[in-house]
Amino acid sequence: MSAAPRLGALGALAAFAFAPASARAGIPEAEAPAKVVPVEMSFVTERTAEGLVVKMYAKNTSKGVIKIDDNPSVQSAAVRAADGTLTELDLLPTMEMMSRAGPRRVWMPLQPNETLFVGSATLLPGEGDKAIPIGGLELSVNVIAPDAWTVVKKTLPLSEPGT
Amino acid sequence: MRRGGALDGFLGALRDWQDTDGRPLGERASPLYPADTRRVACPYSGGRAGLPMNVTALAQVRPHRDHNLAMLAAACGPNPTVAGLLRACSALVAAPVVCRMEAPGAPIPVEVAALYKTTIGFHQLLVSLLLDTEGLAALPAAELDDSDALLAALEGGGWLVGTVEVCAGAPADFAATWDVLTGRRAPPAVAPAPAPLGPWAVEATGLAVALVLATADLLTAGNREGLDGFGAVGAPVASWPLGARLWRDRPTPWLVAATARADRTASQAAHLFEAAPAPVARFLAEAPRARDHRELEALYLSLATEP
Repeated sequence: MSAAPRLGALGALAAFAFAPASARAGIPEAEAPAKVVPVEMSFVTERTAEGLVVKMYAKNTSKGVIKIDDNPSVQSAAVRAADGTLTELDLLPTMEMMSRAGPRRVWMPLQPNETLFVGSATLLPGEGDKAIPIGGLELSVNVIAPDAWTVVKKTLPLSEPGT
Repeated sequence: MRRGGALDGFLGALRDWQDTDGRPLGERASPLYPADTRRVACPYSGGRAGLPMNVTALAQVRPHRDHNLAMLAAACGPNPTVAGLLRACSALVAAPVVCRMEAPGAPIPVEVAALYKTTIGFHQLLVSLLLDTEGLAALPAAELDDSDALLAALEGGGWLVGTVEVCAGAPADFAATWDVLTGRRAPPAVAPAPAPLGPWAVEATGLAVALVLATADLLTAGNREGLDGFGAVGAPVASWPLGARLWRDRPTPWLVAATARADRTASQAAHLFEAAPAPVARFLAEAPRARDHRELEALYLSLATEP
């Protein structure tokens, strides 16, 4: 029998120590140094009647199997219109914050070089695609691994509605 | 496993069973969650502070506090081991299932719903703790850390913050329950009602945990056969083998806990017991030879018995 860590093992359950503050329901950012998760994120945008849907794909860029938490959360999103106007998009902040808290984690294994659809997010829910301007979508996404986390920032082109 | 049977209930269907007040056992995890549920900003300190908290369910559970503590103590028996705590909590979590077996279709008595809601978090906690600590099962529960350490661990691990609501339990109630479980406090002098216990439940817990972790093992080895779309959150597919559905399709709180850490493997399911029951031991012996998720499911179904 190994020495029993008892409740110490329980405290180590959550992956919070490595998640961004926005993903950890108030745990101070200073506690969690960022590490790089060896994934390359790619995104596909779709204008739908429900809003702007961003589909997220993760590619394992390391030589071993890695795991990441499914459905990387969108930390922030904004559209920069052709005239330079920046519009922050509604992210349903309460639901997002709560859905990333707690012990619920689904660790998705990724084989070396494997690309996996890891989730989607609906931005501007209820607004419809007509409300989304043409321009560039500036995305900031949290990617959480068991012992690391990273924030991926991307700018994606947004075309006209219906194209 | 029969669809709609008792085991199906224990493995998650019970969240949608309503009690005699009309509340689903799973509260916010059920689509039957009453729209008039009163939610307030959590008044407790720590990570829960200010987040949405269900006080209607709390008001339902509180009057049964002493009875629940007496039931827990009676189910544990004298001087339990940590595995004994899991056995007792599993049995009490299964109490609504036993009610449903005795009165099919009838609402669950409120006192049984309160017992379930009091116990489910401790059941979840014990599953996680035992999985990670080989040999802990045989430790006398009295040697576990005290309630101050428990409260610190719950807070530090984010255990009290759920998907869309925080746990409504008061720290003093967690401490009282823990002290009764670990023998540091005598239970209230209330005669426990005849317990609608499900002694089969701890075996069902172990077997389901083993199946889900074996599913994760296969996925880690790169085997996704039959699991199309498994990477997409919120989109469980009815055709997936059972292990994947238990994991992804509205998992029970204790299966959430079992899968919350990335480094667990199926073999750790043996840690839930002082000596693994025969079906669990056989599953763990044969699961590594399963070539795909369907074979894992078939092995599980050959060993899981309806209570």
